[in-house]
Amino acid sequence: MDDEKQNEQENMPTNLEICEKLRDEYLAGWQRAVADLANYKKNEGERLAWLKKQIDQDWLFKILDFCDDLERAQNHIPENLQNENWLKGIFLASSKFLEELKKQGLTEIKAVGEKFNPEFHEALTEIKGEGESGVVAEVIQKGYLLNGELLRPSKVKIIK
Amino acid sequence: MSKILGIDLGTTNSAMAIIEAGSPRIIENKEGGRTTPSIVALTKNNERLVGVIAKRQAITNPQNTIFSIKRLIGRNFNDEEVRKDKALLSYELREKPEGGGVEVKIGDKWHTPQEISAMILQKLKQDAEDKLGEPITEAIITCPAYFDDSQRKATKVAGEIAGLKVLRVINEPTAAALAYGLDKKKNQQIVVYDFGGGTFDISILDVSQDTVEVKATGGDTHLGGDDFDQKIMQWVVAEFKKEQGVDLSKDPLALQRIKEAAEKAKIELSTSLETEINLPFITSGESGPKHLLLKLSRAKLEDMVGDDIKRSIDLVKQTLQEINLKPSDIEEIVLVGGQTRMPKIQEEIKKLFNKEPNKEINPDEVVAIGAAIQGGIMQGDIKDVLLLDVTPLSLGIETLGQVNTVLIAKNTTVPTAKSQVFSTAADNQPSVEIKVLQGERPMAHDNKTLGHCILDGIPASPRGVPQIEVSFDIDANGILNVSAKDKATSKSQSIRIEGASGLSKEEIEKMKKDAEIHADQDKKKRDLIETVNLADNLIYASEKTLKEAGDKVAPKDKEEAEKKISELKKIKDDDNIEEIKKKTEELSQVIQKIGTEMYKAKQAEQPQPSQQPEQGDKPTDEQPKAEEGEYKEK
Repeated sequence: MDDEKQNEQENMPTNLEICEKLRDEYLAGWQRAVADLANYKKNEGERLAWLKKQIDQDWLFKILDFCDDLERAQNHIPENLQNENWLKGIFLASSKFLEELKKQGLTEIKAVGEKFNPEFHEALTEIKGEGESGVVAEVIQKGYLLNGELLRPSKVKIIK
Repeated sequence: MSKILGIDLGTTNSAMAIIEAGSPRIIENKEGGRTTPSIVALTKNNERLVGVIAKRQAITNPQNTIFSIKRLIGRNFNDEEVRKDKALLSYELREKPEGGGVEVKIGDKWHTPQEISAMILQKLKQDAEDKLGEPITEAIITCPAYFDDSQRKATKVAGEIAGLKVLRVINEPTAAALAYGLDKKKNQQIVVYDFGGGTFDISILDVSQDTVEVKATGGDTHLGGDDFDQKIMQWVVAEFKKEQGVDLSKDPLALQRIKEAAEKAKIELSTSLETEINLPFITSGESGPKHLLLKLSRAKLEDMVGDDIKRSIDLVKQTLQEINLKPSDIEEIVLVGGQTRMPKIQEEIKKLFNKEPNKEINPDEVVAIGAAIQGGIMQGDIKDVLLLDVTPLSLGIETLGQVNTVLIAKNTTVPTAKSQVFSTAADNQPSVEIKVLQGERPMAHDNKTLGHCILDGIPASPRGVPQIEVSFDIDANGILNVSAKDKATSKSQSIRIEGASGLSKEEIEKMKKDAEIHADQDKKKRDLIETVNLADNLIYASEKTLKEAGDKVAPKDKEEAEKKISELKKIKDDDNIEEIKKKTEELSQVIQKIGTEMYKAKQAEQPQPSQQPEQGDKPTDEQPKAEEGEYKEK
């Protein structure tokens, strides 16, 4: 009976052991918290960069929407007005604007004649036409990359 | 220990989140989107596409583009729902050869819905791994509350095919409630109103000791935000036909532009009362190009979709009735799904329940966030012992003019410490009193005084010169230690305030409310005191300048300055803030003029060595500046 009691006592963790175990647990928790904060700060930087990109993209989307309208207007000029100098002036101004955007890293996505690639192209419709099936026949809305990354895909018609 | 991915596997879109540093965060996919279209496609070259890329090619490849697979998962081929959906799906379905389930054809192979769902989950897993730079092996996936056992099992199988150990399949409404921490509230009835892109779900949850139980579900599997877009499109097409006589409904390219514009208009009308749909060159006929220009008001949109909103509210009422509950029995309402951003929907819900719904978390992400939280709970990331509290009310001290200067703002996570340097308000002030305040009101006496101490033995010096550093330190148990130290003598005093947050919830709420009610009045008072303090400081500085300059100031200037000082002194204790500001400005200009003259005179004296200050061994302007508030004289 006494032996049993002694054994039990020997197997009982001492206060020091309990404290050491708790210390390890708390130290690990503390290290984790500090590491989490360090990682959070790193990720926060990435997130801010991501946010900046989103904001840049947001206003670029709006500007490009406006450029699309100008382009539509240009495509609709009646033949007898096509050589009008005042009209030419307006479109020169708009191309100057696009040139400026290109300097900021905007590039147009090649589409017509290219093989349809959903990474960069969005199919709006299929049409019958000459040429290989699955090739872009016409661009409805130009697509752009911003600093090499997709800003918006080209909206295209594809040969059936 | 790898992270557990929380996944909201949606009918139209999916989202994913993890727990990081104890709080949930949405993970963007490879394309940078916070949600991923739940679409899978196989191209002619046998290339598998998932997400937005699959969506972009859908038109050219309808038979091999699988969307809305969630409508089929775990269902029997002869289910009423499957039969209904079959008509709307562009891809082929058949009954599983061994009977029972559904199979869909993609390329020349037949796949089960769980295999298709697995392809979506695989992309999410891969993108999360790329983003986090570590393997993801475990996940929590959500499903609608009405999913039966077979649908839940199939969802779990989908996860396993994707290489994920699915720790649990949890209900979407439960996840949403978890995201708002509502699982901690005991004995509450919660309504989750989930208006997604294509489905409307209503769930009633009962939170009791340690469990969240789904008491009832309802909804409409074919009612969603997309219907709202459709209604706007129909209206645009009809208006254009009325105005221009051209039917755009047959022109797929025009419709594409109208669809985008309709969605944009809908989103804009959640924040503004009117929007413009402006689509130049929408079509071109023999008479030349035509433009579409329409104004759409919020009221008009609400009128268009009024029936849909009413239907959703009726479904809520019906679901409540099924379990004999009244709207007044509901303690909390949670909004899920992008369409719930619409003010009219929020208004109708508020009207029905007579309560503000929970809507602070992005309704497109709330379910994934809840799933991540469930993962965190299972992993032990969110342990109760690690839950850190916040200070419910601001803590500060009283400074010159009975102003409450806040050191630790409300809702700051504790433990935390903050210190700030203050100075004296009068020349040769021997002591300062530190009065510790709690509350949101700008005037000291409107707040609760937690305690005070006096720091004395400050060496005689002009006002603003002594530097007294006041430090606040709150530990994790909410015990506040306040100390004040005179930097020159290192003499310090401190007090310990236990139970700084020992106020009851009602008291805290009352104090917050008081602050809101009195906000305007308090601001005026504070402005007045700040103006008076500024006037006081200027009077003090002007008198000092005149005294120090002695006869270097032209008698005329000196006389004018003295006149302005006495004028300001006379009115500064009245409550006329405008007048005090005006007189302060006048005095300031006179003193500046004197300063400029003196500076010029001094320059003219160069290169003689510059004059030493009259007193002390250090010019005052070289001393570190004491900040902000000053103590009133004891």
